[in-house]
Amino acid sequence: MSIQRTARRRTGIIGLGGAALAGGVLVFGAAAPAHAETEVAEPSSFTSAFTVMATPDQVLNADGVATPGPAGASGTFDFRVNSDLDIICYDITVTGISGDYMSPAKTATHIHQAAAGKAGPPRIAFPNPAPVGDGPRTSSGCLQGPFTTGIVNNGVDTGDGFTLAQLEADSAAFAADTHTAANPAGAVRGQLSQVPVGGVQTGGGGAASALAVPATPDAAGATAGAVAAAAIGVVGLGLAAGVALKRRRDGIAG
Amino acid sequence: MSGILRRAQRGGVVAAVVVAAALLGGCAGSGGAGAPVGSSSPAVAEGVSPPAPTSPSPTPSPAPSGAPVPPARGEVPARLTVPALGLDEELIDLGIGTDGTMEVPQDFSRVGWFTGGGRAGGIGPTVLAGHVDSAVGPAVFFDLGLLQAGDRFSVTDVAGAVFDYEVYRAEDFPKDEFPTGEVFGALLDDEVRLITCTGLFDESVGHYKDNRVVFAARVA
Repeated sequence: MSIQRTARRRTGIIGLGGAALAGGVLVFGAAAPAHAETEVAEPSSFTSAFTVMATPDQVLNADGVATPGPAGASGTFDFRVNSDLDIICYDITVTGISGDYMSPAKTATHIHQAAAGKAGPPRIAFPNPAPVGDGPRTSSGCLQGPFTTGIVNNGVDTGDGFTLAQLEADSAAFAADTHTAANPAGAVRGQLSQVPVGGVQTGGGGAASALAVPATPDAAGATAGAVAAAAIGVVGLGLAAGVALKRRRDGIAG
Repeated sequence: MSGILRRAQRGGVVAAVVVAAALLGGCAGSGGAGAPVGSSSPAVAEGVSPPAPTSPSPTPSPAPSGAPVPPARGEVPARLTVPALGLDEELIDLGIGTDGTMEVPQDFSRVGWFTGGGRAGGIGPTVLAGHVDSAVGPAVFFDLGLLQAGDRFSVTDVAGAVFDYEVYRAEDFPKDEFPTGEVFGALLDDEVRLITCTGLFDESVGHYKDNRVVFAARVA
């Protein structure tokens, strides 16, 4: 899993076109263009991120009745959102499913507005993971709203008016799934779970400062000081490690 | 700093000092034209083998009827024990800050776990974070950069069950290219991520530029 995820991440943008094309070709009844929404490049920043562990036991039909998918199937849906731009980037992998996709929507892979244990309408339709077969299927890229799903209720597309700000406001009210001909209610499904975005700020700089050469007031000088700290730290490895342990056990914190 | 120390151990003092000297010459006058240590493209730690986790699957076998069975979700983790680093730490809860990033312990001597992620003994990555240093000196994860592929540690849940994990990968990532999916993304396996800071400390913002992430899979 990790190997696949690493490779996919690093080639996600390159692979977008291929995955989208494959998804469009494979969708049942998708005579119209596969997407009204715009496929876009990855933005430079994100306002939120979500992950989904999709499993067959969580599948419900349109009436909210448990309708399990095939045993052994699973899916991971990783979403990164920039709600200011209404862009959602997706990295989807499904395994253990077979046969073609099937859905009355324009694709068969969706985010539904559906809380745990509830059914609900699709709000976003993603290119179906490819290739169709018994092996892992993947789909990666970024979509920008306004979104359409191809499902029309009371004359209105279920994606109409939906924005990613709504998803961020109550992410637990949304689920992701994919539908196949063998399991039209869904092969796998899971609830969105919010995860952090960006790096983790786990340092105060005290070790760098303690080892640094005297700082200069300009930014270039500050950088030089930090690099110098790196060099000196090399020499002070054993001593520094010992100090670290003592400080930790003494509960020293800044 | 931990990444720096790790590089020192593996690359040798002389080579590291030469590199640092070159960086001093390249950065001081150019404002950073040269690639700073640990802040360019992600660098896999030397000697780290390709991922080969052999974690026991937390997913129960299908029922005899063939109906899918919900995978195990695990229990709240309570303690991290890393013998190689002399660590035996109770865990605190960490969530998501108002800016969307992961919360970090306010106490530099504590390790925390991301409560929205996986749990010990269940599917998904259990994500643990600790500081490499405080404003005055080294902190609880100062030595995290020393962990290598093959090293083992354990996580104990609130019920007292102990789960063992083996490191299969350790990598530095620029924070502005942090691999959210790889670190926090859903998995059917039982894995752990250990996170701290490394690379250069940017005094203008008060943060290190990179994160060290240790990936480990359950072995027992």
